[in-house]
Amino acid sequence: MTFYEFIRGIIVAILTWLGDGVTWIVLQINWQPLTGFAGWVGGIIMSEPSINLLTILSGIITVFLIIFINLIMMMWFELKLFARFYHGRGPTEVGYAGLLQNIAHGIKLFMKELIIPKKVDKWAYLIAPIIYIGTSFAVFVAIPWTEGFYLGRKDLAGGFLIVFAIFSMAPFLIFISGWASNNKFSLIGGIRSATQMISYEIPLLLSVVGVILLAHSLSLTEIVGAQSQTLGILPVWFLLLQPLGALLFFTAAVAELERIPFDLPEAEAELVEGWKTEYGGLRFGLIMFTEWARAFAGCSLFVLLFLGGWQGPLMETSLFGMDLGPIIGLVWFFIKVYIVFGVMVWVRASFPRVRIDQLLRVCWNTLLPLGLINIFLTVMVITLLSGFGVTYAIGFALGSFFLMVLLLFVRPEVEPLPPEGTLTSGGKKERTPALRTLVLKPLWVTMKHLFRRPATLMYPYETLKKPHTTAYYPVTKKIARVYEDGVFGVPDIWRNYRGAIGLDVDACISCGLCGRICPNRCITYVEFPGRDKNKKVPRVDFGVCMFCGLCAEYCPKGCIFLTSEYDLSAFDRNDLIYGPEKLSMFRGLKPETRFPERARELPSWEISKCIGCQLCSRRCPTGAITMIDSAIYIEKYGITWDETKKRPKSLPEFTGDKCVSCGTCAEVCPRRVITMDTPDSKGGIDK
Amino acid sequence: MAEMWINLGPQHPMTHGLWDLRVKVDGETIIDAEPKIGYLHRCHEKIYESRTYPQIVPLSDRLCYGSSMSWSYTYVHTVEELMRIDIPEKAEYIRVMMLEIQRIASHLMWLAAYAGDLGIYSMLLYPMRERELFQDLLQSVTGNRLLYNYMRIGGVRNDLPDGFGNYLLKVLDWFEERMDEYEEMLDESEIFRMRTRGIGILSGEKAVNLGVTGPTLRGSGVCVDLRKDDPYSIYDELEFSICVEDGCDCWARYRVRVREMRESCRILRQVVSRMPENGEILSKKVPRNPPKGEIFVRTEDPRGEAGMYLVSDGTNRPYRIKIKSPMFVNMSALPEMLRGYKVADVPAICGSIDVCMGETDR
Repeated sequence: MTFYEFIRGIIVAILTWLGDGVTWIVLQINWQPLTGFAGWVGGIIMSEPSINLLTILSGIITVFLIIFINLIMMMWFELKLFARFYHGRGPTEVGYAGLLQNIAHGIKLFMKELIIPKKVDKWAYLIAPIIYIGTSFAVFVAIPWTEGFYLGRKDLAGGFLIVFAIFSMAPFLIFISGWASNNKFSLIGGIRSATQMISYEIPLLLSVVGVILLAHSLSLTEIVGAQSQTLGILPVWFLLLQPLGALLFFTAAVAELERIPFDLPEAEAELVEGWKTEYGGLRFGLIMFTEWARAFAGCSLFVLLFLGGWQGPLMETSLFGMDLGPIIGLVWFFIKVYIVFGVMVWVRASFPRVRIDQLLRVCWNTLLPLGLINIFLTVMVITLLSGFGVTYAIGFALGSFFLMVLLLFVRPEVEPLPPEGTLTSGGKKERTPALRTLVLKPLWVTMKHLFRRPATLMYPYETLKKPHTTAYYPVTKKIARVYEDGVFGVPDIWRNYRGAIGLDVDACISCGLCGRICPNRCITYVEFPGRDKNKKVPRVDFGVCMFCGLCAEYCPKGCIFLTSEYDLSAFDRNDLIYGPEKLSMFRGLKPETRFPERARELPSWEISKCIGCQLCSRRCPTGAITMIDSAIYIEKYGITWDETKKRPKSLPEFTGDKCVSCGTCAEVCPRRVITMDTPDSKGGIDK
Repeated sequence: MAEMWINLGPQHPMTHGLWDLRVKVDGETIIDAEPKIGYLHRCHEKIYESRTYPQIVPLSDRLCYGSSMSWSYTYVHTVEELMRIDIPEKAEYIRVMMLEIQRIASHLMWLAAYAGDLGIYSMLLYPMRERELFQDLLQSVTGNRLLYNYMRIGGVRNDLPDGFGNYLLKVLDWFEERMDEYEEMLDESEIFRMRTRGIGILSGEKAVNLGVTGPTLRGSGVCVDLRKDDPYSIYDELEFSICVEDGCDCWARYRVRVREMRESCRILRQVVSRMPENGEILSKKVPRNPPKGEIFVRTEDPRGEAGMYLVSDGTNRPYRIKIKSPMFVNMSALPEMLRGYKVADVPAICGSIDVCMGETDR
């Protein structure tokens, strides 16, 4: 039973059931014109063309829905697998294990504004992506997923060619989109894209000619049927018979689908998004979606042509008398498509981008001759070995492998680098790459990473408590021992926090050092209830603060410190100004920091300039300066005072023990009498 | 197609940092180029004129955020040279350790950005993963992962945690294994070679004439490294070699930086084995104001020769600081490197000189 017959059966059953119901209702009403009308409509609906139409429409909608859901799964699969190759996790938040991530992307794009830039060629801009999306989905008309999966009544005889014909509409439409976007970069991207796609269609088609010669048919169903022979338990798929062709097809398909290493047209490093740059909102979303639809089509073709399509073990089972073959075939088909897609993702994770001229050079110089050689080899083997038997298979495989080995290890002559000062464009021969170094080592490195535990820290569920946890790195015993040794105890590491500033208001002596040392001037001073009005305490503006820690380092009493609180965001900028009450919140998080003892700078007075304003003594936070009567002062310290100058009433006396080197006295002295001295000094009077 | 100017404009995913590169193309070939900078100018030099010497240290970190230890070291060294003070031995060893760790971290970030630009997204993340190790090291010492505020005039801010040397050696062992993996991934990838060999050639003579320094110069065959030619701190007591390559292209510069990372590992091992157990880490004889005078000091930044010219008038604020940034000069050599290559080579060439806009624009 084919897919068509299956859907038709369902449609006929539904229509019959509906028809019975409507008939019963009409008979109950028993009104002659209505009965006649109902009969006429029923006749039209139940007629042959109408049922055909309904069947085909339902088939298309079903297939479209299956593709849609499948694409979402493929996108999820790609993101997760790609993440494993770079040692990460992929999406994990939305839905279980990130399954709904792409739906979230779709909804987001749906809600964005559809902007049409000003000077675009409006009709081309709007219609080209629509046709692009349409043709990319139309390809699935001719791709069978299992036995008997035709959307029409019978299999398309030229199935394979139809797929390629529809596929090839894309370069034309991409070029139009790029041109119509009125953007230099889109234009360049569109040109590059179109060139790449058109060039790579030739090796794509040439690589399949061998398969067609072996299967004697263009129809995809028959090609899959031709792969049903087995060599013992080894199924003789065309991958074995045409290894060179398979490799060529894969490379050309990766280039057609514009995936890395061939995605220069949309390379973010240069052209933002290439020809899609000017599209936004859902238009962009659907274009991105079709890229994956094309990838699905490309992978399905590879599976059908080279991997035996839907064939696999357990095809002969039946359940309750119903042949389960097609359903099992469908499962096998999808498994194989996902495996091929996984290989494409692996390739994407391992290689850099090829430059556009190098890309085209690879196509015309390497892939095209290889395709022709493949055809030549196939024809030779078919002619020399007749019959499709074991010898056939072995002959092919050996020949192709020999050729591939030859290609892997033989390289053309290496040209020396061009002399300095000459242009490397236009006419100079560059060497073509050797396949061996191209593929093996990078693929091996990324493959190793697939089997390691991801190195991603799932913030905020796992915050960094130790410098290393074993979840970070591959869990081999050797490594685990390295990092679990507990070289540091945890408290020792975290002495040096750089988070929010905390304040111990009781210990603050209002020396003003923190405000003066802050490079960004983010500390100001305010009154605090319960303290003397002149003893102000700091207030920090976290919007300006850069958490350098200088205030904590210079505070003489250690009452201002940096804590481990890093989450300080607020919705309003004013909420970021933390007054002393808010700063006291962090009091409990005071760390035990050990700063080295700093050289203390002590003030010294050029006492002959002093006018006795008493500011230094009043402002000194620790009371290290006291004013004593000037007569006593002069006698005590043995200074000769110039009698022509007016002698002030009192002069400042300094006790070095209480001084905290805050420098307030030097700042406030109106006559610049005080200087903060070199650390060897003892402070006091500078005669 | 006629010649046209294309703006690889200030808003662009490829440009690391904020600058504008205008290229004049004929079809796909670049005929001329003009980098336009200044989008990140933050008036560092003017701000320094109104800050005291200790306050400038956290600000000098922010000159190049990718290698902030080396910039704050340059500033602190300049002031110390003017003040003519001696630094305690342990502090010198700690400083060199931090500088070399910073060099490795900066080169790893360069490697990640460079490979990411060229399209290998996995190589964007493997060096970043290793860089996390070094950032953890720096965080355990200073408390911050990126802008450290660790150097002080006269020493460093605080001592190393206990057992730091052992931990560092383990990290280095692990790191050197990972370096082999990177070399497998990139050296033996034909596509990477196709993208970088023969691209962006800058001959040794032209490089010297243009004033290019750092790995860009050493990739052109000129053997100049300030750590050997004009040694500062304790570099004259350590054994290491200068990494020079003859290729003059992007591939050579990539090889120079990868080899420099290995040399830094070697230096770090020597420092760990020679570091004194106990010692002062901050000199107590730092005067408040440097004497009047001027001085120019240069150090080997991961990007080249970083210099600071300090003019002091005897007060506690500098009169003028002029910052000589290596990237500013290297970027002026870009048009020379870009001429004759394709537009698609622009990320390869611009990435290979390790652009950091923080120090270009200051």
